[in-house]
Amino acid sequence: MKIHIIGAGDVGRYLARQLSDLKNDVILVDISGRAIAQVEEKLDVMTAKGDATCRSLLKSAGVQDSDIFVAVTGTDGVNILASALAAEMGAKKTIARVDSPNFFMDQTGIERGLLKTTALACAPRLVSFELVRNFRSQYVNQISNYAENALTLTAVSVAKLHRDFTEGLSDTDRLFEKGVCGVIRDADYFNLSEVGGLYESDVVIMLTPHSQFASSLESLSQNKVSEKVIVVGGGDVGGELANLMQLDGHQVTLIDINRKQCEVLSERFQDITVVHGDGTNLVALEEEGVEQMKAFFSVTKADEVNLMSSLLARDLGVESTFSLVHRPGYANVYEKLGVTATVSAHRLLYNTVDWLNSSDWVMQVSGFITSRLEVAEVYIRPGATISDEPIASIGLPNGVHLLGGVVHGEYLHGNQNPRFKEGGYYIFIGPNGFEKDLDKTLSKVKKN
Amino acid sequence: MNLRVVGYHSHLMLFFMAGLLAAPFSLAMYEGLLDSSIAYGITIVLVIVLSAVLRYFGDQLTSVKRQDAFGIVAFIWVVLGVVGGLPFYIEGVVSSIPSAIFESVSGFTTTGATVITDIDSISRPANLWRHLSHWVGGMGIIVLFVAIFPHLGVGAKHLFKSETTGPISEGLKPRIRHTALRLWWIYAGLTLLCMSLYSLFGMNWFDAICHAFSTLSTGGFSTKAASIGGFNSSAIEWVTICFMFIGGLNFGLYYAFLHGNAKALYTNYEARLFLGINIAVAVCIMLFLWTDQYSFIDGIRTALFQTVAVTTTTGLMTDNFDRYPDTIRILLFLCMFVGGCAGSTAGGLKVSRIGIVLKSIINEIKKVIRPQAVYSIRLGSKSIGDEVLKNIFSFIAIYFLIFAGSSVILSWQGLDFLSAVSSVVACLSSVGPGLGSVGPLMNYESISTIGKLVLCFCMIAGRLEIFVVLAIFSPLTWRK
Repeated sequence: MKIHIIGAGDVGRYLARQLSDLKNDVILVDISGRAIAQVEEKLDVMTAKGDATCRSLLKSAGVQDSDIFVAVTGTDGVNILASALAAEMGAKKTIARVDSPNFFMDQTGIERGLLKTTALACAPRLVSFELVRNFRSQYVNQISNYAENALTLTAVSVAKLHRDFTEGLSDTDRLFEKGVCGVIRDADYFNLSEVGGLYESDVVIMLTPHSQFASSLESLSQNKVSEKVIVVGGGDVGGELANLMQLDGHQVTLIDINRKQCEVLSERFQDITVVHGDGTNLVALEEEGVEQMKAFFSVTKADEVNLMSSLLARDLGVESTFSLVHRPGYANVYEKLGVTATVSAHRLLYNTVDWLNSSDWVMQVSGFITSRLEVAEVYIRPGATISDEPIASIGLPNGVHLLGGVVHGEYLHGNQNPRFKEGGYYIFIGPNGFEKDLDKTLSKVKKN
Repeated sequence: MNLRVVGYHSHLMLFFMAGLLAAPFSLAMYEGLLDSSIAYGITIVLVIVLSAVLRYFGDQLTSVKRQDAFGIVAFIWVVLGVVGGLPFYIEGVVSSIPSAIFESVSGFTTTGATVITDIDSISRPANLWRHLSHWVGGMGIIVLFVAIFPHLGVGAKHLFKSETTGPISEGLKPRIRHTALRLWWIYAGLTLLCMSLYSLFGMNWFDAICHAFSTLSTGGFSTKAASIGGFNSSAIEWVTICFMFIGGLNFGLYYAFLHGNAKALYTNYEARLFLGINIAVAVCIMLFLWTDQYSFIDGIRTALFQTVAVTTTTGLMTDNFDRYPDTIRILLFLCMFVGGCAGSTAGGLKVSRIGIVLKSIINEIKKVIRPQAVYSIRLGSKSIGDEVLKNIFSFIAIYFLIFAGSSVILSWQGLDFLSAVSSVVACLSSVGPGLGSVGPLMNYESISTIGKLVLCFCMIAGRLEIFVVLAIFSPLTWRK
């Protein structure tokens, strides 16, 4: 595949290396000669020097034949314009990194189809969602986000819920409402309606809108989860993260070193405690009562601050520390030093590129809980012509269940007998390797 | 530099060299020539043993870094020279080991200077090996290596860049291996075309193969002492003129041509300047030849032939240009410095470098008149940065320093002024024949051992564009 990457910074170089290692033909464009020289030294890719918002440069770099075009410079405007131009010139898939969350109309972190681009990805949002996912994973067995982070799929074992279900499921309807779809028992999936009661060894499967995860888990375990957490760094990532954590019902303290930024943040978030201070200052952290915190997030723009502050927090006794890592290749150093989990924009952007480059219908497939089950995400592209029969009656392959989906922000439960709609995401669970059969089935129900 | 990495990759290349040696060996066996068979057989065994030793000590897993690439390139070129010359010595084609090394280095660097006094009588395997070395050295053995072995990663890029010529080396394809492959395909295709035309116009198949190798690589070896002139065919001369010129142009242009950008061939600044130089020099020679009993057409052909043979640094010939008037000899002497285009198989300073220097001089003059004005140097549509300019000026300075130093040594070894300076530039620019005692009708056998080794250094330094060779002598390269 021919892949163009605009911007030879940390992210651009990371993408180039990964994609080139997968035998793709990569062309890296940057305006800075120095960045280009660095790439020439390190990577076996073609380079072009110049302004990616110039059509002449894009043309000479061969963007018209591009299979994937990714713009990841540090400037949102350049990325958006470059990918819009590339899309106009004939690049098959165009993806731009847009850092400002305010650019987006909704909350998901990825917007499709704007200005003819395939997708605009909001790196700070992707990072925040991933950090929240990491935090949430402490309470459950497995958790992943689907449909541009609009849906959260959770697997939680009954043992973890500390609740006795053996008398039967009297409140099935309410559980359905809360997004519980079914259980995994003896490595097989059963719909909630098929199981009488739950046993210690069962794993409950729950598909909820991202924002309702906490309340669903709460009604399942009948136990309110509200923790004290601290976020160091009040930039785009910090703001988004604090907001998401607060929506989950946690008490968030946000620390930033810039007084002006603190004022802006406190105006924006009424329910978050904003503190002006230095996240690497031991005394300041102690003053905020870090030792009582459940989790500590360090998400400033500087790697050294993030590492330093999370190590301090660790030393002060915080159970879980999460850190944002900017430079590729440093993540395992953090984890070796005792940081619970790290999240990197370059890795998430790479995953996004990989995700957008999927086949016709099935966007991603991942193993789930047991090695015998898989979850697949299906996306119905705008303009796709597909049968409007209920999904249950199109003849899904054996053992495949629809868990639910989302269409333009509207949540669909698998039990409500939904139909395929353009622009909708649908999540299926089934036995290993079922996605090929599913793909065939879906191709069959395409309207002619 | 990691010697084990150098060892591992060199072993692969040596193995490859053994494959090349198999060609003259097979020919010798086929023709039942015992001496030749023994000579090439021994050499092949030696190369394989050396290769096995390097493999034993080599490190396969570590990737090739820039310093390692220098090491590999320098090592391979030295081994090519020494081991490649061995069969000449064993077979008795040359009289001494330094002569054998000289002949082999001259072959792989596409210089075409010979120490063989009686070319017409040497065996066919020896001739095949001489011309094969030209052909492989022309596009570059390292480039061929990069094209064939897929596992090199970014190391391939360092290797590729250390052997390709010109101030700016750029890939044609996103992967350097694919670039190398394209270049070799183009090169092989053109060689095949040249070979067919030669045999169409009356050469036997062996001569056609040898001369096609020698022409496209802008080498200069011939199976005849009288070179192309020995065939007495104006058609063959015209074919040679065309293909020498083709070899002297940037091969990237042919790639562009094959991909629908035919305009690149005649809009390229360097190619135009190169054509201009050739025409200007050829006209001067024509004017002389017409006063020297040549007919109109013969004059044009002979003048073009000598000009292109010198500017593309090929060194094939149909006339003794050493007998021309001094003005023309000086012109040809200067052309030897200039050489062909960047990215070609030709040697010399390269037309693009000269073009950039001329433009920079013009800019300096303009600046004297209008000190406030800002001028940029453009080569075609690309503007040349200060870094590249600095590199070009230092390249030219080193080129002349090596030229000066080597000339002093050569004259100390007993050569007269003209022969000393022209032999050095003929080797440094990989032309082959010089003037005076190393003129087109003479050879390099009479030069002393020290002189031959100095010229060998000049040939390799010129072929690899000096910096790579000098880098080997820098302690920085050897630091672990």
